[in-house]
Amino acid sequence: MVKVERITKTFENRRKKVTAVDSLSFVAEPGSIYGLLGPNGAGKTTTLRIISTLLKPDSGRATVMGFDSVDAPTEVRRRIGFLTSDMKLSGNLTPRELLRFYGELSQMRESDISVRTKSLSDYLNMTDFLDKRIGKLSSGMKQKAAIAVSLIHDPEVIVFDEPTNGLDIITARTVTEFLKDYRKKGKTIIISTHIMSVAEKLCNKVGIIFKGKLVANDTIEGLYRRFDESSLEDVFFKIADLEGVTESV
Amino acid sequence: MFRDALIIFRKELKNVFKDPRTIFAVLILPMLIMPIIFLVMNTVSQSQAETYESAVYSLKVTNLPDERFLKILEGIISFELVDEINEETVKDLENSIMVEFPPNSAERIENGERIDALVFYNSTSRGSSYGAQMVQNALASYSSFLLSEKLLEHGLTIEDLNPVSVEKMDVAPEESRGTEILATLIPYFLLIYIFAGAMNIGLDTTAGEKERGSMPVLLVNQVSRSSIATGKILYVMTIAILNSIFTFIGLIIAFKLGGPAFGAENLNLSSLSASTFLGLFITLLTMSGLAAALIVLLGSIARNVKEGSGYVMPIYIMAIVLGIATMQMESPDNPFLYLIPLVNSIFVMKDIITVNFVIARFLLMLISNLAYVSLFIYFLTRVFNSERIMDSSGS
Ligand SMILES: Nc1ncnc2c1ncn2[C@@H]1O[C@H](COP(=O)(O)OP(=O)(O)OP(=O)(O)O)[C@@H](O)[C@H]1O
Ligand SMILES: [Mg+2]
Repeated sequence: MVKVERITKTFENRRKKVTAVDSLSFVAEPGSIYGLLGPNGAGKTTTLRIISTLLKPDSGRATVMGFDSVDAPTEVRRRIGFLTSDMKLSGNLTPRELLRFYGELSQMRESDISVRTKSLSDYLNMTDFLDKRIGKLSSGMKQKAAIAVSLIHDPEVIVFDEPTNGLDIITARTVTEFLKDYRKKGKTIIISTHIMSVAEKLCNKVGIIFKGKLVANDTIEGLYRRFDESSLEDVFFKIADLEGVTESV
Repeated sequence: MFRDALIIFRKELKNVFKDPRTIFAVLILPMLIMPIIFLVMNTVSQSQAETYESAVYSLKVTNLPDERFLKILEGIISFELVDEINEETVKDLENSIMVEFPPNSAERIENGERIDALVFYNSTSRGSSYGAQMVQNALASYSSFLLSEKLLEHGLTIEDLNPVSVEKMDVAPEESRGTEILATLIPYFLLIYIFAGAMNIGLDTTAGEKERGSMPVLLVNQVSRSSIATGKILYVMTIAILNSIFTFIGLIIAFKLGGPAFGAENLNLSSLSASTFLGLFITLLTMSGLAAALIVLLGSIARNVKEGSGYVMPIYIMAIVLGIATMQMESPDNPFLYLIPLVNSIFVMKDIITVNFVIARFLLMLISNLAYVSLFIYFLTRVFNSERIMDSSGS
């Protein structure tokens, strides 16, 4: 369970103030996938970083399994698997060695790390390059390895920022199937995307975010009904029209 | 908590030593660089000396008083007598020298008069300079030859003119003799190579990880921020120590290979005993801890490696200047100087090498350096806890 309550985050650079997230609230339930939808610069990544303790909100709070991201960051980190597209693995170690490293830092037992490494690499089709240096892998392979690293400690909550971005359709399918499986296991999953079809196929509930503000927060079905449309793309443009932001999309 | 720091430390070391280039840059290169410099300097100066010694010089002598002068000179260099050179052409010809005695010099010497000999040479030609020096030596020998001849007429010898002969006895303890050059060079090289080693690695593991996007992967892990700080400092410190130790080994090899170019005959390498090494190593530890902590801190504040280099460079240059400034200095007594980072380590190392170990200075250095490192770790932990560590905009 993840609760986001009226979080606001402002960046200040050279006299210019950007309110990246503006009093945003939503709840993601266990056993479901929550999707944050919005155009570039809407504030999706910033929101997810606040949940994962990498940024601190100016006001409001985010809690993960009841732990406040500012007051109990270590407890939050223990329970979360977080990945954004600008987080990358690098260096001379192999995926196996990195999985072991992050497993050790997560206080896992040696034997558990091995078992978990095996199941993750089978699941994500990583066996071919599990013992190759990260620096020599393709970007898609690196991304798979990064996904595995973020999940090594079997977190209750998974927060993925545009998880299928940059992946070929086969790999993308692997990742989406993986997320559905995790949902079945009762995990709380939050993803961000600006690809409507991904959201439609995957998410139980979506939050549509424009300029840092959450302008809709409902199940896919609920949104179809409310806006009398049959595709998320049409819903999205209808909301954009109402918000008067179509030009900037 | 320290367990996590060690996990990070081990991982970083493993990562860096999987790259053969690092092994070469950190271990092999520093060990080779000093011996190579020494060897090149030696061979160059030796082969040059050989060239001058075997050269045949063009010599013009005016108003030669005595054939015996030429006999003496023949024993020192090979030359052929020529007539065509003058003051002007000495300038343009290689290996040419002109000696001018005053007119009637033979008679004047006979009469016991003093004569002046002029040696014309070109100081910008190494050959001409060397030849002129040899001519001068020959003149000096000729002069004392004349003197002893004269003394003999009075039944005296040259030794009779020096009733007191002097022989110097060095009373410094045997083990500290011949350590001055070591005390001059070793602290300087260790200091420089600690910084050189810590700089690249220290910036790479902080600002470099920000650039590559691998920093946040570590930051979302539950590991405590102070463990990250400690682990990274330990890692950079280890590389810095390895780098300077291998430079040290290289320096010793260079001295052993014999560096007349450095006046190495006077070196006393046996002064480097086990306790000296232990003392140097402890000093090295605190000094590299300090450099590593500082560089990791600056690298973590920087948004990219370029910005980080901008922060570290002035400190590196300051360290070089400090190293050179203190090269010829002896350890001062003022205890406050042993609280100043880097300065304190340099002077304590000099103490240790010259076997003038002062425990109070050593302790002052140790405690103050540990205090600085703790302070840096504290600030570094704060940086890792702040959003600054996420700030990674490109250059
Ligand atoms: N570290 C930062 N410093 C300054 N401004 C920032 C920073 N991070 C984000 N912003 C600004 O905050 C706003 C929201 O950015 P964010 O990355 O959250 O958007 P996004 O919804 O993830 O966009 P995209 O779909 O392009 O990834 C943007 O205007 C961005 O310029
Ligand atoms: Mg984004």
